[in-house]
Amino acid sequence: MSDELLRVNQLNVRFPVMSRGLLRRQTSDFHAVKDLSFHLNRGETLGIVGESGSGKTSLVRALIRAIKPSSGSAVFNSSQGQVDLCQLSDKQLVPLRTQMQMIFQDPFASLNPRMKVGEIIAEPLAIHAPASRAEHRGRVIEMLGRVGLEASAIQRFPHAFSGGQRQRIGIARALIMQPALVVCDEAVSALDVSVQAQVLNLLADLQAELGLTYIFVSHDLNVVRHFCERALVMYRGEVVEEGAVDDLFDRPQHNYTRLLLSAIPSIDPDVRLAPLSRASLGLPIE
Amino acid sequence: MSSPQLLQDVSSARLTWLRFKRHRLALASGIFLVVIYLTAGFCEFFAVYEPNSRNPRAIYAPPQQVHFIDPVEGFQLRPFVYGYHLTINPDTWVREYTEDHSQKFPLQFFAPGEAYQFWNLFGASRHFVTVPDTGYLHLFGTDKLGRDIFSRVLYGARISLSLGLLGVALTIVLGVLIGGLAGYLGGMVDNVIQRTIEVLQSIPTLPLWMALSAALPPHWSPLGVYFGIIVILSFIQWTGLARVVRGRFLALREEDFVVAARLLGAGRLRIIFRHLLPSFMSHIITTATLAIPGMILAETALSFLGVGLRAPIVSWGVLLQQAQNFQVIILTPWLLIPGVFVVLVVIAFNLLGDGMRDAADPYGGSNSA
Amino acid sequence: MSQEQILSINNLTVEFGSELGTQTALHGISFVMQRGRTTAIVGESGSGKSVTAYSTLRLIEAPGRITAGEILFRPTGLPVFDILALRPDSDALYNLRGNQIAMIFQEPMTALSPVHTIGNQVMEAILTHRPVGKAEAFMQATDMLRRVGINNAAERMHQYPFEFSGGMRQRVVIAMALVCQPELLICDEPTTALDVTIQAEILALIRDLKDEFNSSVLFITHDLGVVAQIADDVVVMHQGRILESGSVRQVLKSPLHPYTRGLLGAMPGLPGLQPRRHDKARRLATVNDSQGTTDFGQHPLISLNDGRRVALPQAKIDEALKP
Repeated sequence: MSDELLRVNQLNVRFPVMSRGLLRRQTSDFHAVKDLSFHLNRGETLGIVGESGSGKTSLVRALIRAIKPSSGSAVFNSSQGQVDLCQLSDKQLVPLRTQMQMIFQDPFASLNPRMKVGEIIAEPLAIHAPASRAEHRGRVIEMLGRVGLEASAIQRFPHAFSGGQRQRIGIARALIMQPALVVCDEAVSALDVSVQAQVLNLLADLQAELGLTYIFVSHDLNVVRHFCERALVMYRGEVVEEGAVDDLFDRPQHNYTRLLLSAIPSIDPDVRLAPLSRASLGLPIE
Repeated sequence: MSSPQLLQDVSSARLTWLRFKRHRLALASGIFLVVIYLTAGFCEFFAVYEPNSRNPRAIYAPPQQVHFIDPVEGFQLRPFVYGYHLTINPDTWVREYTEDHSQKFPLQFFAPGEAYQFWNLFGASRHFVTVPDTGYLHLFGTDKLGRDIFSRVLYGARISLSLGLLGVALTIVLGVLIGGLAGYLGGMVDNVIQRTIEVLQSIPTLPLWMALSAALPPHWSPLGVYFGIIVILSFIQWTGLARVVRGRFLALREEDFVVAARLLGAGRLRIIFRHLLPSFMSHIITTATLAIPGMILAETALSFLGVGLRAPIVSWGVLLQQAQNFQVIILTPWLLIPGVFVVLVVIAFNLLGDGMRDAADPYGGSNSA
Repeated sequence: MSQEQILSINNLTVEFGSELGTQTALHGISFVMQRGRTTAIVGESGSGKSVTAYSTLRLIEAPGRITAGEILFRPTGLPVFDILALRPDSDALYNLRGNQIAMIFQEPMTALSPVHTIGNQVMEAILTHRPVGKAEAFMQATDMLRRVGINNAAERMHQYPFEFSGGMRQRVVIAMALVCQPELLICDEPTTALDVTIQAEILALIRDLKDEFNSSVLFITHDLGVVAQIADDVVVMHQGRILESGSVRQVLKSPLHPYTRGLLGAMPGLPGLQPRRHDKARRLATVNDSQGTTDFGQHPLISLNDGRRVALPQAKIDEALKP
């Protein structure tokens, strides 16, 4: 545990539930992430798996401060020393944005359709590293090369690209400031399987090249098993199991993990899908 | 089905244009509006007379017909009109005009005619079409003072059409600013703005406009009244746009690319001006286009009722004020011609707005698998 | 077309027009569905798999156009007819949709009306196509809901779609589709929007109900795992063409076409298919790795002796068939 990048302690995310009507009062709240703790080492890939409503997206969005966590701490070893991401104001977070970035699920929604690809990728530079256009252009072209796109892409608009290429543009934007931590929120879920393979390979290559640390959120257990070293299994806002992926997948301890694994359809038509039933595992029926 | 190969390298502006071109009516309306706005802009040149010049030989005269065939000389390329022959009906005392074939005024294009001050900048006398000094040309007839309706319609177009544009411009500024504040800041600010809009929208517009126009100081110059009316009309109109803008802001704030910008560390201003506003600029322009006819109609209504613009300003509403009695319809129906222009322009703006609305989202329907 | 075949699609061509020209979505595809079996069409986005399904119910709308081909349909005990030859507003087409052929869509929420109760919607499906009274329809609907695994069916008949979870909604949609006992059930990515555990339940349900009702199923999906679990026969599509077809074992266990092989290789986390290492060198095979830059899509389908078809030159097939 010598080189820890992030340590999350007792993190909670709650969403207020408002009443309808003229005077919107908070009636209750929805507890999306409950007392969650984990750590993340530099250079590793941590998977977070769970079904919809498990709180995995709320968790990473809180970590990267797209939403504000309700309580808890997330100590980040930034280049300026240790900071608690949960305590910082939006303004204080701005310089840290270069060190943690996110890759989104939807390659169509995550790029501004009215900006050219060059402007999209250069946006972090424009915000954090004011310099001449020519300098930015050089870095953008270099980054485009790294993600496997041609330099001519900078003059074009996102709609000229396929889903996989757009995801590469999103990756280039996230990585151009060379962040330490990259959160991939279902980053390959919207892609076709052949494109998904290419993007996963790219992410692995870039990790090796740039020494990135990934938090990799996915509902697809196969992808997590392939791509991650360690994984958290989330269920109803809590981590029910945590461990190295091989242990987790080969010797699941928690009933929910067992249920998830049993539901993966095998690619072999002779291995019949036989999902365990929630009732027999003592889990509440949906 | 998407067609990514085909969509490549087509800019969004071009895509919008391609979609827009499909709407033939919208395209035709757009061309009509451009022509009529240009005519209004250069109305000194296109009009035959100054709006207040009077022709004592033609009081309540009907439109003159343009002829190409002369009974003596046969067909001729240069069109001409005949002068009026006035008789007064001894029974009804109504003026009855017939064509006086002994007076023939050939139409002259780009020829010198009545002198005018172009945009109050320089004097000139060349007109698009005119007749020799001795004659007169009243294509749309004349009113009770012998003023040329055709010229007055053009001068009126300048006022009515520019008022629509300026009013909508002010509406956009107010609507985007206030709606944007409500949508972006949310919370208390949003609540106060929302309730204000609701109150404003619940007041019947015409009485409110009338009350406000009546409150304009009578000693104001015509120009002051003109701007006063613009402010009054925008004062109500902005609420609709503000609601639209607020809604779009709220929706867009959650869009991935806006969240992405926030996570890149972009500040509020950058997010608003780089990401939010461009994303619904086309939407605003469309909404505004559809709001212009409302402005023009409102001005017409107010002036028609005598509480809007007043003479000596010439607007379509002011012109229509003369057509307030039923006698007009029987005896001098040409006084209603300004109304025809109001209708045409309103329809054209609506068709154009519809076409723009369909074309505005260049990505709509092209991404779905 | 023999008795055992329920559907035969011949040279189906579909085009989509846009401002920028015409795009061909289906390049004259042909395949046959056997009665009582599940045929899966598998492909990535833009492959034309959904267009094929929609064409079968004549649901292609402008700017789309079916420009050529025939879709022969043989209901049990009735003569064969060409679905594409039916008049757009004819009773025959009306009877075809919902009664002889039913469809399950990807998004259960959009297939259900939010303002009507579940019971009303299932009953509607019965009352439209069957000469029964309301009481009888209610009985049948409740029974159907029970059979798709909804507890307290009689009670839940009076609830609205928003009171159901995603998986339960999809069960309702399946109940609506099956309530008229269609000969052919078309499932367009019915589990894509669902969680994996719910997907497993729905797949098992479709499999069981298909046997129970003795229906034939046309199953559209992009997921090879789902194909392996549900299909008897598989059609692999890419860019509006069929690249390979055959039984599920033939296609998934010994694929011939490089594209199919590439798809299988690109599936992550499959033990045995590729080494899984955590040495930072883990890579997935991609379609390009197996196919290279050669485009075999243009090649006509060749039928092999074992019943499968593949769009490859004979030399390549021989090469692929070698162990």
